[in-house]
Amino acid sequence: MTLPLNARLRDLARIFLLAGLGCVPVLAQEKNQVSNFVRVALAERSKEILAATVEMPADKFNFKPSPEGMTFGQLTLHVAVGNYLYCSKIGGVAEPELPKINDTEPKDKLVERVKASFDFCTAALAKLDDSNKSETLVLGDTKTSRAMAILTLTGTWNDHFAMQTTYLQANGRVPPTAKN
Amino acid sequence: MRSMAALFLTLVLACSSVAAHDLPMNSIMNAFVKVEPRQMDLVVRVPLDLLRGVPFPVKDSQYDVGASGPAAQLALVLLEDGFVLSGDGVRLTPSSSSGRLSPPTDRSFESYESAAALADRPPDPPTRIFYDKGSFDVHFTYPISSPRSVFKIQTQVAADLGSGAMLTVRYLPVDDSSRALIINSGAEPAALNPAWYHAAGGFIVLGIDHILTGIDHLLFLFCLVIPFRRLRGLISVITAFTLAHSITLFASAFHLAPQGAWFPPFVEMAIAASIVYTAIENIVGANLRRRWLVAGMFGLVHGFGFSNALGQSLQFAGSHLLLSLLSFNIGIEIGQLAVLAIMLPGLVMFRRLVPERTGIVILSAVVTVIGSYWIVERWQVLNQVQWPRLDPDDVVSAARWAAVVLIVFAAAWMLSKWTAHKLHRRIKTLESAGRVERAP
Repeated sequence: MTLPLNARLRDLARIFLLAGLGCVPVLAQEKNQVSNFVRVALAERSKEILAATVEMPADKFNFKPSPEGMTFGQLTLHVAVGNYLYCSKIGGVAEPELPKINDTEPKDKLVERVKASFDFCTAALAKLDDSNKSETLVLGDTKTSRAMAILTLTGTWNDHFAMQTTYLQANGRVPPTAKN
Repeated sequence: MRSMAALFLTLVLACSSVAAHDLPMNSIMNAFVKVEPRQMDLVVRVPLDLLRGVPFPVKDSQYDVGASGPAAQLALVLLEDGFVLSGDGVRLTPSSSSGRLSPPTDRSFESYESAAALADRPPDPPTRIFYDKGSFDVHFTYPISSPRSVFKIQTQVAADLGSGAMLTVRYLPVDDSSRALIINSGAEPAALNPAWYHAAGGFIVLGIDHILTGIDHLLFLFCLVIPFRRLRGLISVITAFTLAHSITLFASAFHLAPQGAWFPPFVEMAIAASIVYTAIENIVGANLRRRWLVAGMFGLVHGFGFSNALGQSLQFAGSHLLLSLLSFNIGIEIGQLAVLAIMLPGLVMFRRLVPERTGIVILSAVVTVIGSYWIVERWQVLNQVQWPRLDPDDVVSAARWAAVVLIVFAAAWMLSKWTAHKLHRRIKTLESAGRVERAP
């Protein structure tokens, strides 16, 4: 089944509408607009990404939609690694030293790692405010402001959830948050 | 529930091209920076694929433009830190900002006036913008202390993409001609109107950096000097190389070099060939008295190579184009002399370990192998370029270049002959006066 491009975009856009609706109350607030925005986005996206990770059958974690793409396991670990890096820098807290795990580890271990990364983000961003949103952060070999790092982080959550949805659909599954 | 399931079923198709990361590639933001006596205006068109984190409301696969106000407000607050402007080293803070969603068909960014007017105007709710298409247009106004300050600009929007996200800036100063420059996201701040000493210093450093990291230029230089035992013989060679590459470097900066996409790979190929030729000449026994000709001839090619490296950077020269070119050239010479200062003593030491002729052959053979590898590698690139059709203008241009080269070399040859003749006569005079010993 192939839908026209416009129809595909329409459906993708609906996902982003859900994310947008969740953030609307925050946008009305003047104070700490950026910090509140990332916290609301985190609450919404962590639920969706975690639920989608759990939904994928354990034997499909090595699935990838194209030869050059990531496996679902790699994607899951990629989300966790990104969360630790970005949330530690944005929140100004040290990144915890965790035992290294491989993207071929069993599903439980990968789910546990991605959940822990979102818990870490929740704690790291809890006390964030907008007073130093212009401060320059160093993320790997990239220098950027805290506000732009937040924009990148929220953007990648959207992208990663859209990717997870693709992987699940290709295996006849639907993300649980879409079923409600 | 079924409709939602259907929705997600279609997502597999929506994202069918997803690879490791569904990131925007080569996104370009267009900007105007206009300086006025008391303020500076920045107007930027940011493609929406760079703002995926901003929750613009979407309805039926299109942005709900009428309800985009709160998200637009958030985007403005975020983008205040996406574009960093400074005046004389002090960060500028916007005193006002406005922004709106615009469809991809909008052409307002053809001029500053229409772009600023558009960004200040609320969007029309019936405007149709499909998801991820179109742009968010912003207008920031910054109070400034003087329009003569040295202004710098940096973009941090999607800095993680580096050269995948670029900002093209059209800079409109108060009493000077406008300029355009392109900067990568996350790059160091770029001066919009650099002071002459900043431009000169920056380009000297760039020249030094280019020669020190340009292994092919260094290898050619190495080939040129391998057979020389005395510094005096080298002077004409180094001078010829320097003069020749300066000629083509300046000619390129003033757009006298061919502009086609074929030219940079052609020059790279010719540089590799120059290395191999000189190395082989060393092996078979070079005529060192004519080495300056080889240095000069291939110096012209290397000058084009330098200009390729300089091309993107010249936009940061501000109004100091000539000075920046000179500075870049000075930087190259400084780097060249520094390398020679290490290379020549190294060669002297090498000659103590290995018989001279054997040493020349060994070193030149190694360089020949490296150069040949580059020839093969660069030939593959050159093979893929689209060659231009030769029209009468191209023939005239090529003939003109050939004439220039011939004239330069004829003049240099005559000068060398005249100098040798004068020197010979001077020695003869001194000999006949008995002030120097007659040569055996």
